Amino acid sequence: MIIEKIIFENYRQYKNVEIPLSSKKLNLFIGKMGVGKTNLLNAINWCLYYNEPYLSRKEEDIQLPIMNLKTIADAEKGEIKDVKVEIWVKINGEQPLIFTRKASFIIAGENNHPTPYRSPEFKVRSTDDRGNTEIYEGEDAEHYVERFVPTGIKEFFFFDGERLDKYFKESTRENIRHSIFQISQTSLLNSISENLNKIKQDFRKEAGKRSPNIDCIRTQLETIEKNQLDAKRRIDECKRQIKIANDNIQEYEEKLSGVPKVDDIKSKITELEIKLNDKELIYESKITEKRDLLYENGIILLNYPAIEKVIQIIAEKRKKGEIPPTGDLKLLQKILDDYTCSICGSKFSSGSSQEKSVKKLMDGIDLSSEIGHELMRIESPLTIYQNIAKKFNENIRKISQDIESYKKDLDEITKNIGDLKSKIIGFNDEKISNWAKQKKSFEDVRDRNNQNLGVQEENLKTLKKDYERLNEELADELKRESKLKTIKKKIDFIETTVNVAESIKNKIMEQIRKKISEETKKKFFELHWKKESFNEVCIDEDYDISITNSMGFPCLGSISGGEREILALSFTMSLHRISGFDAPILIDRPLTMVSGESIDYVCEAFLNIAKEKQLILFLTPNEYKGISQILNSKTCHMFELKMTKDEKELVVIEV
Amino acid sequence: MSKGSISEHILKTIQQSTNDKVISDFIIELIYEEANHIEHWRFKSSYNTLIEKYSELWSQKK
Repeated sequence: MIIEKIIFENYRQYKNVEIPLSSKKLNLFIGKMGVGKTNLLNAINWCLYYNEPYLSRKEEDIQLPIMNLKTIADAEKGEIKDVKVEIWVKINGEQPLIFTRKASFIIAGENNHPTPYRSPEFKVRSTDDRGNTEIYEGEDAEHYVERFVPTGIKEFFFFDGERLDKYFKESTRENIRHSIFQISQTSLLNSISENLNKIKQDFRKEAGKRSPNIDCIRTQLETIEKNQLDAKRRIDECKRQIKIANDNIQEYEEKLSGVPKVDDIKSKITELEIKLNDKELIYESKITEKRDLLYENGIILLNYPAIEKVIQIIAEKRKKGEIPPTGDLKLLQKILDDYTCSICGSKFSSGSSQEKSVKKLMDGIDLSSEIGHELMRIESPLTIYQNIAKKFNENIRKISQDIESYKKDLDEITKNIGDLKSKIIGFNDEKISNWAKQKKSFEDVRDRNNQNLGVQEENLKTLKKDYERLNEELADELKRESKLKTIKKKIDFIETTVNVAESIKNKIMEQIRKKISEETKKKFFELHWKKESFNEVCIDEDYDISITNSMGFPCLGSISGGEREILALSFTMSLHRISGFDAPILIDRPLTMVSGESIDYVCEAFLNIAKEKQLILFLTPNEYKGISQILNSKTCHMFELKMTKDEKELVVIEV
Repeated sequence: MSKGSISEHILKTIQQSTNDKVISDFIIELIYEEANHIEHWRFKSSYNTLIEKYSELWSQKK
C-alpha cells in the first residue's frame, strides 16, 4: 500500500501543488524550519481524519487560517474558495483509491477572513478493473480510511521524530496494550461484552418488576457491579502509576549506576568541612598559645644557660661554704690599710703577726660578702626562672605535640575532602543530584500506590464474594418463579457468552502480543548496527517492552536516541505486519533525537525499511547536510521545499 | 481490515475457543453486527433478536 501522489489546493502553504511519491525509494523532503514540512503531515491527517494534530504552537496561537494566505489576499470579497487535499493511494497495484477532502470558505469581513461556507465534504473514489468508477461518501468513505490506516492506530504511521524517541519512555505498557487491542479487533469483543451486560441488566429489571425480592437483589447487584468497576479502575490506575514509577526508577538507576553518589559525597564533604573548620580553629588557637608562651618566656629562655650557670655557681659556692659569706673582704682591706682593727680598735704594725693573720684570712676568702649576698638574693628568682623554663619545656612540648597532631588531622581531612571532590569532578553534580531526587520521588509514588493497590485488591475480593452470593440468590429467586423461566434462561445465556467472549479476547490479545514480540525482536536485530550489544527484545505478559544487553542487564532506559528510534520503528513495523496494514510510514524530523555516529546507522536503517515499505521523511537542510552521503538522489526520491519571496506559497522542487 | 471486514484470525479463534457452537455462532453474529452497523444503530434491538434466537437454541441443546 503506497501513497502515489498528494494534490493540494489552497491548503496552508500549499497553494497549488502536486507531489508524486516513489513507491520504491525512500521519499525525502528537505525544507527549512517553518516552511511547511509538518503541514504535509497535517494535510494527510486533515484529508483522512479531519484533524491537524501537528500544528505548530505559532499556528495554533495566532490561529492562521487553513486557507493559503495568497489565495485569501487575491480573493474578492464575497468570493467562495475551496481548500482541498487529495491523496492517491495504491493498494496491491490496483487502480488508485482517491481520498478527497474539500472545505469551502467565503471570503468576508474587513480582513478578508475565510469563513466556512458549507460543511466540508469527504469522498473516496474507487475505479475497478473495468474502469467503472464509484464514489463513496459519509460512513462508506470512512470505511475506506479504516482500510488504509485505521483511526485507532494512525499514530503508528505518522510520527514526529521527538515522539518516536519518547515512544518507549512514556506509558509504554499503555501504548503497547492499546496498539494490540486496536489491531487485534478485540475492541469488537469488548463492545459485545459491554452491550450484553447492559441487556442483562434490562432483564434483571424486568424480573424485578415481577418480584420485589428480585428487585431488591438486582439493586444490590447493580451497586456491586458499579463498585467492582470502580475498584478495577482504581487497581488499573495504581498498577499504571506503579509501572510508570518503576520505569522511571529503573531509568534513573541506570543513569545513576555509572556516576558517583553525589549527594552522599557532598554531605560527607560538608561534614568533613565542618570538622576541618573546627580543627582549624583549635589549631590556630594552639599556634597562638605557643607564640604567647614563647613571647612570655623568651627572656628567661634566652638567659637560661646563664641562669643555670649562676644557680650551679651558687650551689658550688654553698657547697664550699662560701655562701653564706664567712668574711668581709672590704672590711679586712680597711683593717690592713689603717693598721687598726675596725671591730676592737687595736692597732698593729706592718709585718706584725696581726697583719699576717688578716692577710691569711683575706687569702681564704674568694668571694666578697656583697657578691655572696647578691648571689643569695638572686638565687630564689633564678630558681623560679629555672622552674618556669623547665615547665615551659613541658608546656611547649605538649603544645607542639598538639599542633603537630592537629596539623596531621587537618592534612588528612583536607586530603579526604580532595579525594571526595575528585570523585565528583567533571560530573554535573546538580544534574546527578536531581536524578537522585527524581528517583526518590518516584519511589515514594510507587510505595504509595502499592499500599493503595493492596487495599483495592482486598476490596475487590470482598465485592466478588458478595456478587457471587447475590447472583446465586437471584438465580434461586428466578427458579422459584416459573413465569420468569425465560428471563433466567436469557440471563444464563448472556453470562456464559460474556465469559466466553472475555476468554477469547484474552487469548487473541496474548497471541498478538507474542507475535509482535517476536517480530519486533527480529526487526530490531535486522536494523540494528551493533547486534552483538544486545541479546533480547521482548514484550512480556504485562505488555512491557524490555531490551537486554549482551551482559544480560535491562537497558531500555540507557540506550541511545538512535537505538530507541530503531526499537520504536521495529515495533511499528511489526505492528504493520501483524495487523496487515501495509500503509506508509511518515516521520517528521526523524533525526531530532539522534546524535553522533548513530545518525549514519539510523539512515542506513531507513534505507532498509524503504526496501519493504514506503517511507517518507522530512528534514531540515542542516539535518540533511551531515547525511547526504547516505541519503541522496541516488538512494532517495528527493524534494526540496521552498517558500516564494512573499512567504505565502510553497514550491516543491524534485531534486 | 476495516470495520466491515473481520479478520480470519478472530473468527477462527472464536470457533476454536469453545465447544459450544451456539455460543460461538452467536458471538460471530454479534461481531458482524458490531463491525457493520450503520450510524444511529440501536444495538439493543439487534442484540435482543439474536439473544432470543440463540438462547432458545442454547436451552434446547442443554
